Amino acid sequence: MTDKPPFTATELTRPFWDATLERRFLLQYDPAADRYQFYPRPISLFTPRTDLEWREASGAGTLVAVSLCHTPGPGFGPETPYILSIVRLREGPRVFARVTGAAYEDLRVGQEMRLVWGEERGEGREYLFAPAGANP
Amino acid sequence: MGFLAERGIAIAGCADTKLVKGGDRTALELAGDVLESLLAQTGIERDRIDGLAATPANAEASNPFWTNMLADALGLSPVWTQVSDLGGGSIIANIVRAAAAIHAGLCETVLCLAADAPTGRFLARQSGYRTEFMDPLGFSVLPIAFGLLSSAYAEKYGLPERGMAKLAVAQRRGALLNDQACEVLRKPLTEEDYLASRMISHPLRLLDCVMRCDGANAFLVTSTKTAREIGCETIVHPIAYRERVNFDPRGDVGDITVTGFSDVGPAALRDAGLSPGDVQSFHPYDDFFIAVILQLEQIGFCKPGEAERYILERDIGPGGALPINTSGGQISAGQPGLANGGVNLIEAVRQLRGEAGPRQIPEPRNAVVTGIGIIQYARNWGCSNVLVLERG
Repeated sequence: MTDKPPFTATELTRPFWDATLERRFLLQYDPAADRYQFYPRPISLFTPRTDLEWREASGAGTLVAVSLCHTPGPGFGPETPYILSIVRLREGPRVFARVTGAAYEDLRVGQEMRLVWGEERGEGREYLFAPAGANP
Repeated sequence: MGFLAERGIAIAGCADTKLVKGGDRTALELAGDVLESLLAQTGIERDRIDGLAATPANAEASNPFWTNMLADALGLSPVWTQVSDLGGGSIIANIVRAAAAIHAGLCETVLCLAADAPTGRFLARQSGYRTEFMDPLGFSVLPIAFGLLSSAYAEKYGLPERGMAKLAVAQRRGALLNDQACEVLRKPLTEEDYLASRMISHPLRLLDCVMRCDGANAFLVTSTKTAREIGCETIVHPIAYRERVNFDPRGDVGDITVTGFSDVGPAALRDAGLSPGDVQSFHPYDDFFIAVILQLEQIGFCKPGEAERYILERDIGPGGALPINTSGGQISAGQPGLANGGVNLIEAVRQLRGEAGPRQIPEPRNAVVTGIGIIQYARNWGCSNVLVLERG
């Protein structure tokens, strides 16, 4: 049981959250622009299209920002302090998520990261990042 | 905004309530208090106010008719209204929206009012990316976003903690000289106190952050002609303004420390015919000190990565080369919910009117005020705006 807020899907975001249940991280892809976007949006940021494709991300990225959080959100208290990050995926978009498998002191902005999977909650599964070389 | 350069618009008066933490008064009651002060100061008859520009209030966020409620409760009958949802950018945005409406002939005299009482009641809830893609992943409070931003800056240039310590001490001195500041914050502060304050969202410290409080502020915006007619002795003109919402929408810049100020900052100064060295007081929106660092660099006071050195080399107090947030800013006076940016703006107006008392800058002719609003997904902030003021 957890008091953390559940992941909730809308019509737009349901394919994304459904895929997380299968441990796949989908990005919206605009084939006309050959660009990816995240979080899911109701229209392409690059062309006037709404018929975007869902494509699976490689999960590889670079650490853009990292913070050790001492002010937990609901349900995160027992894990405090925990590490939050912004990672730029190889496909381009930036993603906000927690970091696992590393001590805060050992993380460096610019290092390679990879996406890993956490617990299922509500209509989705938590995604996190770990250093590219770390054991799962 | 070319019309602003004609000096045809005036801020003819300003008022605020004392900032309090955990006060008993509602946002509506604070709005009444601040209107009373503004009417007394300007001597204007209430019925001459024919425009109302407001901001939402965290404490009243469940009321989609908040601005109409304000008009009803305050006895106003406007022919033009505006509510701006730019977060901390809303207050200076309202000044210029009011100016545009007056210039267009839609109204003549606008009350720009913001009141909020979030310490007792906080009903605002940001939906969309925040509740779906951030909060369930551990995002809780705004300092996290600025802790992340600080880490990206620190990687490039080092954490400017000595510069921010100097800012913290200088702004606290201002709050000690500002009777409207929150009493709980009116205690002397040293750089050692700042550096020793606990980490909230590493590398962001407690004393990098604003504290929420309750309060209201109000500005009377009218034509220069009407301002003279009602006997306004010291007119403050808005002379240039730029606003950017959702800078870099496609992530092309590739650096989250580059904000909308890199766009609107230099442009607003250029519109005003000023170079950064001409600015006589600077009132940057200060929810977190790292935001002041980024603004100094991106508006053009110094080069990227040099804000710490810039601050350390200068006196930033009222008698100095570039006075910054002389009344304490929001970090040392308090952040009255979504009446936030009024704390920075009212000090700029007071300095130009010569009403800043013990913290008065000697005869300033201009001031630059900024706003920051809305936290974006995995970036920085959604609204960057800059207002240049001049004493008439």
